[in-house]
Amino acid sequence: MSNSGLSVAVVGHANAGKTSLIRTLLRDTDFGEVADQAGTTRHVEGGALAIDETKNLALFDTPGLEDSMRLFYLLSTFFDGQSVDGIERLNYFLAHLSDYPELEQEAKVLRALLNNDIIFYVIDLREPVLGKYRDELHILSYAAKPVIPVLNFTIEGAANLEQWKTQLARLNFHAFVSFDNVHFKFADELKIYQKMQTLLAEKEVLLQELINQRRQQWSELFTAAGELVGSLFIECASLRYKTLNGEQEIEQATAKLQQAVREAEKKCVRRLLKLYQFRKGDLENSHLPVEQGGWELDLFSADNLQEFGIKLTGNIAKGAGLGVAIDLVTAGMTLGAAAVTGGIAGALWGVKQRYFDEIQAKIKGSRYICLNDVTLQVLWLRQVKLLQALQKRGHASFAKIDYQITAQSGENELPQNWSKWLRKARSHPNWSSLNSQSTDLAENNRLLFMKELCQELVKGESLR
Amino acid sequence: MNRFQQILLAEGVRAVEGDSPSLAEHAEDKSALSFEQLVLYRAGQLDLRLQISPLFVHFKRLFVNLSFFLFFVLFILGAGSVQKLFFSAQGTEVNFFWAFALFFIPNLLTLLLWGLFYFQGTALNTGWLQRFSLFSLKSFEKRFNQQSSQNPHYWSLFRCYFQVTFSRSLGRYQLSALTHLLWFSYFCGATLMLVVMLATHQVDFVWQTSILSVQSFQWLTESLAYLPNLLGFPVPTIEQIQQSHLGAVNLLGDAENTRFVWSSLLISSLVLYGLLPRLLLMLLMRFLLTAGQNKFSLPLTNPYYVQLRQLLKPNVTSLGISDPDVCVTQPAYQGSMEKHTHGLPEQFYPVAVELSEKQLIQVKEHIKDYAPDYCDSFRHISDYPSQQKLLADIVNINSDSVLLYLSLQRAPDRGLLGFIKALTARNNKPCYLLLINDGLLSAEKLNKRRSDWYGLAQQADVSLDNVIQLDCSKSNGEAYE
Repeated sequence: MSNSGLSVAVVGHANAGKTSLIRTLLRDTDFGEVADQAGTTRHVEGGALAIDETKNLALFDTPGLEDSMRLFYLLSTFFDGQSVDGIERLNYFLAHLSDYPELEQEAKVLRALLNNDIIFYVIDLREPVLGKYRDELHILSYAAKPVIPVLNFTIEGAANLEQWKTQLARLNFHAFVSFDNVHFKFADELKIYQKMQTLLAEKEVLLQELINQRRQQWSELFTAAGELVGSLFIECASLRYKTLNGEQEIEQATAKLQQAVREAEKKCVRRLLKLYQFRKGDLENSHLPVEQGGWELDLFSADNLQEFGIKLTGNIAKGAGLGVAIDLVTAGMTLGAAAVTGGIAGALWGVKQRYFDEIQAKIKGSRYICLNDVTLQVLWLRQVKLLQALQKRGHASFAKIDYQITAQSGENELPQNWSKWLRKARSHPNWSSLNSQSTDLAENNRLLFMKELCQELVKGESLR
Repeated sequence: MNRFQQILLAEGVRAVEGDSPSLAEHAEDKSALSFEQLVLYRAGQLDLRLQISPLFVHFKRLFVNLSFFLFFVLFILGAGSVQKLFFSAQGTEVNFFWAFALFFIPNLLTLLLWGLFYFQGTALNTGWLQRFSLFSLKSFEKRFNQQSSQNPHYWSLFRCYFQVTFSRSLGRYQLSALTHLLWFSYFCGATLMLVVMLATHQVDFVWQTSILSVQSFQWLTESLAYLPNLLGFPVPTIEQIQQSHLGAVNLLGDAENTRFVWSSLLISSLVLYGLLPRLLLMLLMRFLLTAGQNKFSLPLTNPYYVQLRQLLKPNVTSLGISDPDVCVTQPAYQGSMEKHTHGLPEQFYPVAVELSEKQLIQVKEHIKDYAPDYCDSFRHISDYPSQQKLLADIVNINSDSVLLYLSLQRAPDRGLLGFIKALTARNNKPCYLLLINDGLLSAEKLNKRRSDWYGLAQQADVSLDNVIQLDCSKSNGEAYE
């Protein structure tokens, strides 16, 4: 047993998801080779999760046990029916491997069983309990090492769960865990480490350190992702462009505004993918918005908005980005109120900062345009959906991430403070770096607002 | 370079790089360092190329110079206000309390205002103050530094420097220290000018009132003089206070001494109630600023630093291949995916291989239709003994062919291949593979899996014409479509 860390042999039948499990635990899409066929992994390959400067958790991927029935039969025929420990049988087989060249792959698995501290046995729950799986479990028991059966494909194979549980119990494997590589849950990852703690008492402290570290990293990751989404919302909601009141000028400014928002969203999506260590190609139709500058999932397209369940009026369809004149009445009232109450110099400066541009624009026959509420809603919901998908995605998933919003009920729920947020963001054009004005990205109130948005994201049931 | 300056430099690198870390530095093995140390080290390395620290030194000098300029202005203002007070005074008489109030009350009010901003900074919207301060500095820099347009990152670094040095509590300490410094300078100017004026001018100090009583003024003067008196400054006695009332006849005949004690009281009050508190507050703020800078840490939860951590100190390392594969793998089936089969044989011996309960029911239905003789005696091969039993019995089975029911969705493995190979080798009857499609796989996956089974058939010497698909996702079973 390793003194400086812990090593795990990940074994199982061919195509059960061993490499996928390691990829997801390591958050490494490049680990090993994943394909939907038996015999994809043909060698033992390792990756390690650092726990501290000197200790790590090493995970070793192994080829699939493809011919366990023959192997188990051979193991049981050794020593002429004498009562010999399983480990002696394994060593005997390995010593005489040259007699069974067709079982070379199985021999690699046996060596991994003997060389590591603990064994993860990956089970494809979609499969019924067959003789070959029972034989695999018997072989594992020969290694005299703690074994954690890891149930994969828990959703698709839910019907077989009881059958597998019963079979595992019959063979004395009670400490199993569910870990679906396709529908990843961080809590399930922690359960694996917790289960390891119960089986390896002498490594309990080390594993607790690992659990704490993984928790912290996951939390940091989510906070950072929340900041990106929050920042995108602020950038877009605070964005406004000044334009003359002519139709052509408004159209030009609208196009410019749409482009700026699309770019900002693309950038945010790219950063989120990078943060969660996924590839650009994992995104549904990602080559369109990210690589070629085109937008099949166009935020401003009529189809997209209709899909979202929004009725478009002629004017909206024409202008898309929408010109929203700033409410000068409110500005006047606020100014008036400020004048009446006198105010101190600082307050006046603040009022000047807030409304001077609008008043000046009004006098000069200009207007400000900004994003309409619906577009902002779609933008927000798309990012939330993307974030949910990233949180629940394993690093061996082949399916593309789809973050398009549909009109399905329950999916498009906006935060309770949405209107308040919108008012707040729109009253601070200096918070958007997309504006040509100088921005205050580190301004205290902007940071506080961003924190509020992040908290809302964390609060979301599906993101826990 | 102290730790705060290193952090400042790291933030400068972040300002240059933008959203995500993109600059590469010399690769050196620094695995023993913590992530924060690595970030600081990286910043130091990149600074050699980006020349950020000279700019930061310049910004610091700019702030210091501006502070000194304001210090000088306030010093002159303080001195000027004393001079104005004395020259504007009618005759040689100076109203003591008016002179004191002129200096002390504005100081007290601004001190209260400062306290409000200092302790309730988050409750008050001070964004405008930050913007105004930055705007003033930027205007000053643009006006007097023509070099500012030469460095492409000049203004982003300018913003970064002041955002960091004025961030969180540091900004409060910096601005507070500056405020107290300016008032200290004002009082220095005022005190100095007061000493000069009193040394070169002869003035009589009086006090006057329209609504307050004499006793009130006596109490007020005594209270004011308490601290100076304790510290050994000469202060007016009760008699001297009474004799200094406007219009009172000086019965003491000691005008020189009275002037001296009142002058002493004015100077000491200015020093003790104005200059000294501001000096102490300034020193306190400087101390808190230094302590705050020492405690300052990088915002490591920022997306930029989370990404940088993944680059500089990845928590995942590859251990490589430890038990390589030396065997030559069988190439996957590359042939046509077109229809190969001619359908079911007329007579066959049915064998189910590794099927689920649901599939077994479907198989039974199928056998009832196509091989009713074996309806109750077909075999399900699911373990090693049943495999061996079939292999032993197969030569004795009286049937034209053997039909294996298999699950299409399962990836064929070597164990199964070995079994089917052994089966075809043991008997000379044609072997058929009937693949049960439950309809659970997508079209793409279905093609892939079918290809896997064709590969197995090839290796097991089963003709591809004998590979049949039973589509159970539809109501009626049918051959390969």
